[in-house]
Amino acid sequence: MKRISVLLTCSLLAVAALGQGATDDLVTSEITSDASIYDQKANTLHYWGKVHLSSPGTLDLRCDDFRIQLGAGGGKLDQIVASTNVVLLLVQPGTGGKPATTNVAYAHQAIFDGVRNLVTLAQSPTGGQPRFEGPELVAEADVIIYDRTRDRFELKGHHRTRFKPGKLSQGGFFSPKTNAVPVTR
Amino acid sequence: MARLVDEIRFLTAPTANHTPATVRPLRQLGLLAAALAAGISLGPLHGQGPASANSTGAFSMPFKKNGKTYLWFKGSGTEAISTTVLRIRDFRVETYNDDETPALVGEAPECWLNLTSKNASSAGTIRISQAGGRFTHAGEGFSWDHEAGRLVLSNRVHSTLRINPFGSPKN
Repeated sequence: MKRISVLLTCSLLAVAALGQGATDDLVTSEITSDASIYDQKANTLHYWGKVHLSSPGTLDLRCDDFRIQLGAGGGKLDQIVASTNVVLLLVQPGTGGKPATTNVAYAHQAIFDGVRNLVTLAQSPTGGQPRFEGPELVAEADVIIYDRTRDRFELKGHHRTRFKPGKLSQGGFFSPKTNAVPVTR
Repeated sequence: MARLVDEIRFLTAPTANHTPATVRPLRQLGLLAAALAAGISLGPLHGQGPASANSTGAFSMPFKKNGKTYLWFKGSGTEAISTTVLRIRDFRVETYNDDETPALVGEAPECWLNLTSKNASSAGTIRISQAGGRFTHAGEGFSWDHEAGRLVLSNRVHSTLRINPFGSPKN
């Protein structure tokens, strides 16, 4: 299968997508589930059954299986793996007087790599491709990777991106500014 | 009687890796001795039925390794379920780091504690918290395996984490 890789830079994607709504300060997150195992030696938490992670104003995640690799310091997460029926809602705070927006992602698996600052959404044979829905676009791909450090989106494999007309900010690549007088009806 | 003495040694004898420092369970043994003196049957202590030795006093059982406390079981009252298992009310377990600073605290209204394996379990609730308050973990129905360092919660898990949900800060 021919793999197609498309890189979309942050300047194109004002949506900024996964993770940009998060602050870098510690926040209180709540996790509920049917059952869990805490491994003190491995410093891991494993939840399963109706898992719900809530970080008010930042993140809301639901899935069936959820694993956290806690960092040595306790406040830093080395890795989060959410699997099966993952629904991820991210809040992007409003800037410049604009209201806050929400981005939603659906995937079979979502991996948050705290070391490399990557968020990877993966597909499953039965669950289909991961899907990202932002205010300005909808993207589907075999793998969706967001690099937080470089603010870069990467869609791997078969992919499709649909931009919402009129939602892109003026002056961008897909919606250039012109000197034309606006048409009034 | 010889069997009882064996059990008493079992409960209190230091092992190569971990030694109960303050052996408050000696209190229990005292109770057992008193029970013996009073002619009370110790059959139940051999796992043949409900326990007969109860204590309403404080229960405290620290463990040390290389002279440093690494584990401490506490409670407000105990009941011997068998020769190695105690039912403890107001159970509290504290674990410590290598420098003896507190690591985790677990609290449960009641639990069954196996003195041999140091496993604690209960159908009731438990709440553990990390020193510094960055992490709390609670649920109903638990099993704590100290040697493996694993806590299994079976129902209604609720955790709070003071974290950055997206990992390390942006560079």
